[in-house]
Amino acid sequence: MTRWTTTAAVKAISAVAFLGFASQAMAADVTWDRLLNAQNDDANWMMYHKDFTGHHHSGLKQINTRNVKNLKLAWQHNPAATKRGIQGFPLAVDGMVYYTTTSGTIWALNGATGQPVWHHAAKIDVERAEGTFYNPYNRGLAIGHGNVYMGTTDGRLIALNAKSGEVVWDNEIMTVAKGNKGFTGAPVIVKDMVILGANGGELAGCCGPIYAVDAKSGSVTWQFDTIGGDQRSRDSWGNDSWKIGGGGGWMTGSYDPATNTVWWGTANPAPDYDYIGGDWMNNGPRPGLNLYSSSVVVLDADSGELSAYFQEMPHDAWDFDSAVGEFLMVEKDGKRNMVHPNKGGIIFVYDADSVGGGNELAVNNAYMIGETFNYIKGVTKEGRLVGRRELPEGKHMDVCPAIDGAISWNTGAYNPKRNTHFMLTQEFCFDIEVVNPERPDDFSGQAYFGASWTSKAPKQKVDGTPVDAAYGTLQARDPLTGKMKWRVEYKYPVLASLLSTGGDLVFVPGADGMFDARDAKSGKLLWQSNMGTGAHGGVITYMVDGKQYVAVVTGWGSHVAGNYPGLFGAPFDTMSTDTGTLMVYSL
Amino acid sequence: MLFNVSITRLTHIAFMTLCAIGLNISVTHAEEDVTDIAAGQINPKYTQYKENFSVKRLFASRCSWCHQGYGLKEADGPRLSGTDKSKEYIIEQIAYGKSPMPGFRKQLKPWQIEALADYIKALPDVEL
Ligand code: HEC
Repeated sequence: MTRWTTTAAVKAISAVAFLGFASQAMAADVTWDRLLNAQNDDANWMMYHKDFTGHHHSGLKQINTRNVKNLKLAWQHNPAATKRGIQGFPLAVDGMVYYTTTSGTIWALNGATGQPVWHHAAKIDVERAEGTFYNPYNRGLAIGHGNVYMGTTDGRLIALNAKSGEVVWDNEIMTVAKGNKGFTGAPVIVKDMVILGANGGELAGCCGPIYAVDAKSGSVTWQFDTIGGDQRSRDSWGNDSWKIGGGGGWMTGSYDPATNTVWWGTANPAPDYDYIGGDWMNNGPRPGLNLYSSSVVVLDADSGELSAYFQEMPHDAWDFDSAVGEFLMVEKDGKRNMVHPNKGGIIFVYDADSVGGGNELAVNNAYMIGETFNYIKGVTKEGRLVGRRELPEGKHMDVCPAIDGAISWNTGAYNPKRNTHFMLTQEFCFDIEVVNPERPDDFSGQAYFGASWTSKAPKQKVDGTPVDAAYGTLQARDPLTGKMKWRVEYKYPVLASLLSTGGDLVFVPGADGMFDARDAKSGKLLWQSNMGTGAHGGVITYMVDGKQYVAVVTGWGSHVAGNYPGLFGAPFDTMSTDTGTLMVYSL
Repeated sequence: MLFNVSITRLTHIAFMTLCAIGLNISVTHAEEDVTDIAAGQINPKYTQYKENFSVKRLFASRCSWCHQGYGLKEADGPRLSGTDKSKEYIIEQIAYGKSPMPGFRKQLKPWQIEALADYIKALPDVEL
């Protein structure tokens, strides 16, 4: 396979620029070149993270700080009932919009009018899918090579013709023999492969595979086992505990063309929590570091071999996995940084070029953005945890954040012109009783936790300021130094992803259903609209026939959202958990 | 069945009252004791299948993700204490699930499912 070179890139960029005008009318195929250069194509949103910079930023500026007050609903689409809302990112390509509902139905609509073009309801093996507690989840799709690709909760990857919706192939990628697991994350296309990772952090079984599937034929090109795949990993799980160790890579990662590497975050180890407490290197259910759980793995895109890694949570004792799929490429002073948020509320800044050889990534910086944490005292600039609060068997009060983390799987966004990273935090805690868990009898993906808990409001911030209710924040920071530029508090932590635009706006779909547009420079609220129900999915922008649209999915109901009635009461105590709508706004 | 106050319920009320009249015990401790009392009634029935069987331990290992506070608090799944459902219904629910709750018939043995159902039925109608 040829390596991607700078010259090829330049050629590709000019080719795309040349095709730019024609593409909408022609509905040109989404080729690898187009995907590779997606950051220069703001009319379209062609992959989960928009492009391989991972910025969730579009240069479109027809809707901007001056006129956003005139933003109105252009059209909306109601799919059939969608349990747990809609959680994916819509995609917008050449005048079409594609999105998935949680049960695995894909809708293809006219991007300007919302008129349905085709839809496909994947036939799910309900018996298998509903054997896991990630049902019914689906977080989106990939588009390219003439097809639309979606993973399913029963372990399949489906390719549909992008124009007609006809099934091109429908393959079981993951068999039950490897654990009753499946796919909830959106796949991402890299070259002629479709990459996707399995769920299963807290499910007994192994080995949390990440797959590269041939985009044309649907056969597996390579497989990387996040646990137990190499000797170093096996050695870091005493008593062969990797065999029931969970793992996985359930959110969508990214690709770095310069090094031809796939960057992926991995899930926590099983069992969740560890009753042995501080002696975890030698004893307990999974003695050792538990590589490569709660880690970032960097894989050679052609072979799937481990190129580099960094374990963000060594022997994760809190379920603060690294599966957050956001990998932000930020170049500064000739240095390429890969910025990655971790569920524990830490932002890791990796040296993007410290890859090759399977060694630890070099960390340029690391800092905390959570405000009420006490599970550690902090993190060093080198990315090492300081002052771990282990949770041995027994009761522990006011552990912060709760299992839901300070950062969830929803993405932030980055405005490259302002060098500002917009990030969300969730500030709530729990009382937890850690137990020596019942070890499952077999390894086929049984739930495997070691605790019971109740979530609650934090009592204080890290700096000692008293707190009397759970809350959330939207923070604007320099992603490399962590320096805060502005901060807005949200009464209800936002569980949807963010969008940054060239119009100097940040879009925030709220948990209570209020959709905000804020000034990227100051955080000032410039526009707000009630979407009718809470949101915890994606938000994108695109252009059709010279008109800019903002598309956002709504719908409520998930593990994290489940805490809200208890934490806040209204409006969450009556919020529906089986509806959702695609809402599209324009001027 | 509104006035069918069980022994556990009475014990709990007595305990809460003691707290209220000034014993220096936090409410959290009192409520966790409620689950201990329920488990204490159930565990001996099942030690024939497993020595030192603890229904709370089993609950924590399989159900806690969605049912907080050993069943006393609504979260992703509903509060289980005070359910008006029959034991048979609860056994069915655990075995077959109801999306998004997974079915556990392939993961748990019938006696484990029954123990969980007994435990849920033994929980008093209290909420965390
Ligand atoms: C993935 C989350 C999840 C897990 C794990 C889970 N449940 Fe549930 N449970 C739910 C949800 C959601 C409901 C409500 C389903 C509905 O009626 O729509 C529910 C309902 C129930 C009910 C019915 C309550 C009533 O009054 O109708 C019982 C009983 C129950 N669960 C017991 C258990 C037990 C025991 C376990 C562990 C073996 C368990 N659940 C594991 C989510 C879960």
